[in-house]
Amino acid sequence: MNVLEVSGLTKYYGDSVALDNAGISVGAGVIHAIVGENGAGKSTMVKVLSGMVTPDSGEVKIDGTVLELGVPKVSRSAGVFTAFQELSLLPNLTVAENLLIAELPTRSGVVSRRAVQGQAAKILKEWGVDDLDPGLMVGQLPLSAKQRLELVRTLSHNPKILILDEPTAALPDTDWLFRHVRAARDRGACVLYISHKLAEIGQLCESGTIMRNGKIVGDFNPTNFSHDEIISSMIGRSISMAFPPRVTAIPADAPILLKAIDFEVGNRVRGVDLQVREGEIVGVAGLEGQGQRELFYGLGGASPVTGGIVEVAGTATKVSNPRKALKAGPGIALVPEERKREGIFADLTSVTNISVPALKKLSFAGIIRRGPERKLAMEAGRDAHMPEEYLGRDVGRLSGGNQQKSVLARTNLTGAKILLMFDPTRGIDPSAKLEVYSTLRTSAANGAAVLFYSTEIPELVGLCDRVIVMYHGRAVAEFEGERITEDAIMQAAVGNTSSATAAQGDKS
Amino acid sequence: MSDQLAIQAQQRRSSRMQTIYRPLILAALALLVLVAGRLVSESLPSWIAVQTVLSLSMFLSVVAFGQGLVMLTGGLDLSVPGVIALSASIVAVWVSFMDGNLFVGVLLALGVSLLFGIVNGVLVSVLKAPAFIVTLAMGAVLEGFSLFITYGHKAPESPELLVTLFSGSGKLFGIGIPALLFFVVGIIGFIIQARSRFGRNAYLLGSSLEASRIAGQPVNFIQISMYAVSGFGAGLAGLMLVGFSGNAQLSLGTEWLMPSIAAVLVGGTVIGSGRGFWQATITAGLMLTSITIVIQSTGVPQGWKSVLYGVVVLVALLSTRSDFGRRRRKQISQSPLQGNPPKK
Repeated sequence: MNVLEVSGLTKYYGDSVALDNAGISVGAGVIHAIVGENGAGKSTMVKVLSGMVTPDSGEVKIDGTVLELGVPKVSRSAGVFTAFQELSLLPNLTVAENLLIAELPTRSGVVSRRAVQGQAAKILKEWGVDDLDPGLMVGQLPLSAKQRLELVRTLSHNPKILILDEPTAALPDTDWLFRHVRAARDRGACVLYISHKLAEIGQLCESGTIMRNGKIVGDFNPTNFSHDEIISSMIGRSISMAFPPRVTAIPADAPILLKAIDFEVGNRVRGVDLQVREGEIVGVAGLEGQGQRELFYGLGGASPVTGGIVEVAGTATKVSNPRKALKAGPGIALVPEERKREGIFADLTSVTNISVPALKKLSFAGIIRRGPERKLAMEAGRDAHMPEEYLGRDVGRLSGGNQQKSVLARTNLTGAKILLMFDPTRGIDPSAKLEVYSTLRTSAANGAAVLFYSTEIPELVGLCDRVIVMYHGRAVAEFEGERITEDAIMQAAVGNTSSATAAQGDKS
Repeated sequence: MSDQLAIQAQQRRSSRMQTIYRPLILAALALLVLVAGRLVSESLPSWIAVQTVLSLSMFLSVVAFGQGLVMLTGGLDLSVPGVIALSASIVAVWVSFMDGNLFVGVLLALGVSLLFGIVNGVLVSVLKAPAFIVTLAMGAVLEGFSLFITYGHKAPESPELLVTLFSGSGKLFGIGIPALLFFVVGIIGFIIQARSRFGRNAYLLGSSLEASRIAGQPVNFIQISMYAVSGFGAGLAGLMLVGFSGNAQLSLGTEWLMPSIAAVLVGGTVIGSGRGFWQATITAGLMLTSITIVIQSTGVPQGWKSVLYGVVVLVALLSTRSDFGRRRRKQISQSPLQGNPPKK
């Protein structure tokens, strides 16, 4: 019997399934890799094991004992410790306090600052991180130091089950980590290693599991595998969607509606060049957190731009807020990432949600004319495939797909011709996805320039005329027409640019 | 298909609950409270009491209008008492000590109130200071100013026209002018909050600040204008109260802050949500005012009256809150709208 036995884990978030009857089994003294696309369910599985998320069904056994799920404390006392991808440090506490937060040394109930610092310094030294001052505020540390601290904190508990979720995303020297992970394995720990970096997995892991759409789709042997095979299993061949047909090739003389030169947003987007022509859908691909969001938000005026030039229909333009972006030339409209928070007005009806950009036009002497408002919203809703009977309802109560359609209907009403679509199909059902594709294609056919980000690579392949791949804040590859393939995109997305022939970064 | 119809009917019911039934229930409760006032006082219920309730509710509504808009957008205006006192002092001092023109005094008072409302709004929206502290501090500042301009004088007499208009001595069709104005305020407030672009902007901002911003709404301007309206409303109420009470005392505004917030909340507005209706706010105001009148008619000492009123407001708040909270949550978790429409 193995140390860790997970079976039948299922977890729904609203309509979308994060884990679908997933199970794994890992023995003591094994480093086991879990790979999969964004949204495949890896992080949800990690959160279930650490007690942060209660699954809808399923069971976790540790050493044959059933673990009570959904209680972080129980998971910890069972020996499960996790270094989270998004890091779980408290920014307003010091390094030392973060390290010892679970058992702060006290003297008659009062935390002794000196004892905390002393103990922390000892732990840091023990793990070979003595260049980190235990008295510093964590919020002020660079990301790499935070990641290291998160790892030290996790390792220092001598976990029985050690979970590392993308531990090297911001870590410069992986050797340090590998040394300690191997040491943990050698003393009998069971290690779950989650990473996008297949090269690391080949170096470190002994067994592996591939996840897709919340399911376990297969095992692989990290010491002997082909990257292509794994990537193929990760993205899945079975997905065949009816994408709307591409129009004939975009004419080379179609006007360039949006052009960015050496575009920078903080340190997340570091010099991206791109252009989108009238009628074109340009896809953006990348693993989570490679600067895609900042690229879209920067272009849409929702994040402060720190460098570069943006040309809207040939005119250099400063987009300092979304209102200005909408008014710039043919107009730039952003469909944001977090639909619930940034996209919809949940407490208000679909009509109210859709009519926002037209309110001025719909008003007479400051009073909104309700008949025309409803009519306009109905037409815009129909264009976005929104069922008419939902128009009078609060958007917050509709399904994710219909919420997104209301956002798209509103975006169409702005009249903007430059559309920045950030993951518009996230978490919506398949039929709604198809309707979103068709809405995008129709917009492009009507002369819009669409920039489209999706975490689902098949969507990019199926829908886009051209695809840009981002890695570490740069556009590292660009594919067009026949060369847009899932393999090519995935290879470029994990930083493996040797196979990406048209590297845009080289041009600039 | 019958499911669909049932859902639509349910949705219509729940929206009618808020826009029609709730105000009707609150108004009926107000009347009921007055009738039940018989138990504590021989003089209740009476036509005079009804007029008094309407008059006081009118003042309350003028304050609660801006307060409600500010709360809808996620803020709170605690500077109301200060603005009322300042506006009252300005007009009274201008007319009775400086022999100024009443019309100019009114414009001056309203202008200053509007200005400080805008300052509140700028501090909250542009400088991202917490509304609670900003408006509380602003209230203190304004009360200080009021003290300043009335300093060394006995409370200045109110301009006669204001007294005639707002003390209830002036009548139209045999009904006191303030009582009639209740309906005027009600209708104007409804048009602005429920039907105008201005009101719509408040709902949008309250429902989601981020979505408003990304949809290209001028969020700072909208937020500032809500505080400006609240300041203006409080200033207007100050003018009315000068006429109502016959002189400009500094304490004029203090008793209107809590009722203005309570009326908004008992009326079902959820702070920072885009959820709330004017007709419910003013009828909640009627009910709270009726309760005040009845409590005032009892013979209990002043201290106990205050305690009683506070407890009643709390109970009113909790009963409407928890009831609606529960129903809403249940609806959401069971709502068949969560899923997708069956595709045939």
